[in-house]
Amino acid sequence: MSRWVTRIRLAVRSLFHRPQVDRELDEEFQYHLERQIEDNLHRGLALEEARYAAMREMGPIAKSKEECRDARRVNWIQDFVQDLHFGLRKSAGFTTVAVLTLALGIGVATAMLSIIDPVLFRPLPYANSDRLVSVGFKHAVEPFEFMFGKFYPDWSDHQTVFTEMTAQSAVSWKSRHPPGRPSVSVEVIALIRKKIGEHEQGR
Amino acid sequence: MLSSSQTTGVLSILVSVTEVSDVTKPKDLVQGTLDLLILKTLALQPMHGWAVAQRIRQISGEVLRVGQSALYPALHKLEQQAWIRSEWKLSETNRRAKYYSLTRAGRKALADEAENWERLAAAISALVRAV
Repeated sequence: MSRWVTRIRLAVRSLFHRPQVDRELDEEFQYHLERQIEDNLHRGLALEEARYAAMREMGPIAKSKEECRDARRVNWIQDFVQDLHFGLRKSAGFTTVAVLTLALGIGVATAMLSIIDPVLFRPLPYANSDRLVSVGFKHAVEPFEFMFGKFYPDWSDHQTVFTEMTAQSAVSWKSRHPPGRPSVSVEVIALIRKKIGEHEQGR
Repeated sequence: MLSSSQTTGVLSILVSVTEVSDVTKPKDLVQGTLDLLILKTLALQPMHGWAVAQRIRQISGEVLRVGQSALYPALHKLEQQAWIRSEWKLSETNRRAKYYSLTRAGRKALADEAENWERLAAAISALVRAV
């Protein structure tokens, strides 16, 4: 967990304290170069020679620095901000409209998909979910199918269309149960347990 | 200790192995090996980049030379992965230098990487001896 905290802290630092991070990068490479020069001096090279040899050995430093920034994975954000600045300077109106259009489009598409996907495209997490249906009355005052509690025992006992039937209720109507019958919520739980059991066995 | 020609042989085998395996790029494998070298070196004690390069060179008997162009991007990547952390300290030559040290996650990563390497090296040795 603390690993992620560290990673986010470093990313934020790379992003919002860029001058400081860049200075440290310069200093780090400068230190390496100086050590390389000293090493060359120890091996008996003259100062100028030692310096050139060190630079030759180190190769293109600017490229390495860029790769260090890439390694911190914040370059794309900075590039985006730079592009945005450039666009705003060139043609503020066009850039604003373009960015807002894109933002709105992407936002709406993402929001729609995140609603539609679980509701319409993903099957219910039960076995034979295509055979699971909701039964009840329909009426303008209630968006979902519903039934009157006292109908349930009759429907459940006399229907022949479904393999099994159960109901759930927001309020308790235990008192109206015929004696000897478990409460509705117990039946719902039993059925769901059974379904989940089948589902897990089916895996 | 391996001789220089033996090591070159191993590396060229690695590259051709990765071309047919599911490791995406040959570069990845070499990069992973460099990560292992760096982690192992830093497990000894906190060091700055220069010292890491020197230590790898010395311990490998001058066979492995890690240039700054590979070393520093790898160090920064490992730091971003929170396997190593850095702090500025005075160096043995009394100058400010960026010292890297292993984190706890880094020690675990080192153990995993070392095990991977042992397995890979054993597999390649077995193959080389058999053929």
